[in-house]
Amino acid sequence: MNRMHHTATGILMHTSRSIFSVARAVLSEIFDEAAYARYLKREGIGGSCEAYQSFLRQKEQKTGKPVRCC
Amino acid sequence: MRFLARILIWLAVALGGAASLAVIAVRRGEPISAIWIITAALCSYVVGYRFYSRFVAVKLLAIDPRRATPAERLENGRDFVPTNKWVVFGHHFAAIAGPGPLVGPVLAAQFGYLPGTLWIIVGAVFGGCVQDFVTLLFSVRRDGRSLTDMAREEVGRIGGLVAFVAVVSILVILLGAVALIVVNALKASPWGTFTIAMTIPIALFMGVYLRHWRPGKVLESSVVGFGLVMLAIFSGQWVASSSLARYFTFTAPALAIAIILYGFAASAMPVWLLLAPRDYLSTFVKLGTIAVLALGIIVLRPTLHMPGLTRFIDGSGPVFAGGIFPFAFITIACGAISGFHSLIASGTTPKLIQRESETRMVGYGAMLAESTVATMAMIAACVLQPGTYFAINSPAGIVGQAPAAAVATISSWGFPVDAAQMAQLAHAVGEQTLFNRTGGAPAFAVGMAHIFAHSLGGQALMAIWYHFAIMFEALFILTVLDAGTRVGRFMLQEGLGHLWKPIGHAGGYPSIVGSSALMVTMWGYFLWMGVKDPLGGINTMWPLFGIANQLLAAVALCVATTIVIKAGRVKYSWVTLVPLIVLVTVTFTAAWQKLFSPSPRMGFLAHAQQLASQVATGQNVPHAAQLIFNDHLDAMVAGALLFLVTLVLLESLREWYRVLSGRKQVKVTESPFVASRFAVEEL
Repeated sequence: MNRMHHTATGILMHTSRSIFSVARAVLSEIFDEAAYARYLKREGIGGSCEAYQSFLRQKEQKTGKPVRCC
Repeated sequence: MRFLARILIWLAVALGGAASLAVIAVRRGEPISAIWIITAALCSYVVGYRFYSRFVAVKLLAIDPRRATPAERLENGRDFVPTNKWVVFGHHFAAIAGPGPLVGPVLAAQFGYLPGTLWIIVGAVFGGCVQDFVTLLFSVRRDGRSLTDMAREEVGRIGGLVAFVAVVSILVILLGAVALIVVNALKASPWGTFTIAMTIPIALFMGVYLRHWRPGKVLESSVVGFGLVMLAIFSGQWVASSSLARYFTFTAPALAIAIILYGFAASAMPVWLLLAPRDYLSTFVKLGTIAVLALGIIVLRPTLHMPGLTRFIDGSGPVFAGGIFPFAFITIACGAISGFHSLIASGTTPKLIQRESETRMVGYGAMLAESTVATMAMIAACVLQPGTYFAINSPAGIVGQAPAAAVATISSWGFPVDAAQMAQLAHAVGEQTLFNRTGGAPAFAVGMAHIFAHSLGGQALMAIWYHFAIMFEALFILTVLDAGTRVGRFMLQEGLGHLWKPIGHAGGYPSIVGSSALMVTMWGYFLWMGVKDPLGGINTMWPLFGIANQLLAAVALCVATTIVIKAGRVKYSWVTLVPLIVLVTVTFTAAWQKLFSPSPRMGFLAHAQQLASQVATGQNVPHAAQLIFNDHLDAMVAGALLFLVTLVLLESLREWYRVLSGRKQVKVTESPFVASRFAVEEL
């Protein structure tokens, strides 16, 4: 009985962790944090004010047309 | 055994949906619980996703999970990035969900809850979701090409040109219409105006925070921004009752000028300073509010007081003129089918898709989520007593300016309401008056406040909930406004650059200022026209926007049908052809009625004629010349849209005839097959 309880708790914990990590990934993508991380990796540099400004400049050139629906 | 269990489960879901649909369709004369609408919608969506989208994926599109997507083949870590399907789903949903699915259903509620709800469910399952899904897949198969590119390649040069003109027209009309919604929500409302005004310095603060203090911490800055917005809402209550209130109390024309100036400034300013942080803040508030509203409706199961059908199904409604057909289908676009989505489905999203099979969940599934938002908006409008709904949404030109006249007119329609009750409601939500607040946003806000006030915080927090909802919608709309003006500016620079090269120089300051001014002048004119319209403006603007949006959907479905026919899947072309026929019928009828209806409330030309006759007989009609000019301008816009639909249809029909009769050799425009390195996933 106790073992079953532990297994159920384990599954619940695992599922919660998965949902949380997916939600975190979705939010990072929507809010461009993932894109910034990719930019840093691609350029081989660390995070800084200058790096972020350069990322924003590049993003502005690329997505000057931020299409948002009505 | 498991097979049998599965069949029984799906049978139960289908029967549950059918029974709920039957309840909302046949119940008359007594209030029903919102849970019936939610159950009908969710069961239909689940069945639609499981069976119809699978049919489309297998039979029409022949999705091949072994085929590499452009995100995999052209991966560069910048534009093309293979991304987890849930992440793409969230990204796509955040881009397609705007104020449209909230406003359209609220306006269409004048017919009762039934017509709008049925159109939202059926339109989404068989139209909107299919359009988004096929456009996304076809774009994925063409290296993430845009709709205008695909239209040019598949239908012909006219198709591409029409798509371009349609996008600019939609933007201009849309921006004018949504700006008018904000004006109507904020006029004579110091609390609302203060809160919205505060979002500008909050966004600027977030811009500086992100750029200089905590680079890249967008989520963190959005949480800080959200906290500040909540503080602004609470402070707004104090401002409204203090001597500062007069600095935030504006008339509609004054607010219109302020919004026009804001639009110009936002378009010409650097993205990082205002536009990007506002976009983040708006998305943060949007996702949170939609989730809370969904939870609230499911947990609280509010009762709908609006009847299934009202007397205004005959076209005599005060919110906008016109019968169920075609105007319910024009008024609700984004929750059922929206041409604008095809731009997003052929924009960033196809460049992130990891596997072809995931286009089903992202394209079809995200539109189902959008449709769910529209059903929630319908519920929020219909929980109000019908008399209250019409008192908020009816323009002064129809029910009268004075509260006594308005309640007398509305009560005479069979929807009792009294002035004291409206004054009490206005006081409860912290407003001076709720009469003549056309545009949908105030009615939605009152409905949302009504739902939450029955549980979270009770009546004491009703004013906070109302202003939270107003802030949420206005923030949403102003984000569409600044992003849309910028997109329009780029499009104008690109288009006019073909005529005179210096205009096409995107980074040139004179070009930026000139094209921003041109774009703002165009939508600003429509806004001004709406503000000065004695019928409230939305009456004219929203149907025009609906026609323009559905025209773009017709273009997207023409492109899709052309590709299907060229791919030799004529047998299944009805999947895109039937929604196309419905849309063309709706668009043509609506545009025709707006042009040539003999009723001055409906037809632009008849209204101009009526005004001219009144002037000729010596009656005093304020701003008659201007109103007549506006009618002619609206008629011209509707006529131009009708002409564009005809052009693209003829071009498509010619292409289909040439392909089917063998007069044209079909050229494959898909990217060549490359095997995917990702694991093959069962459809």
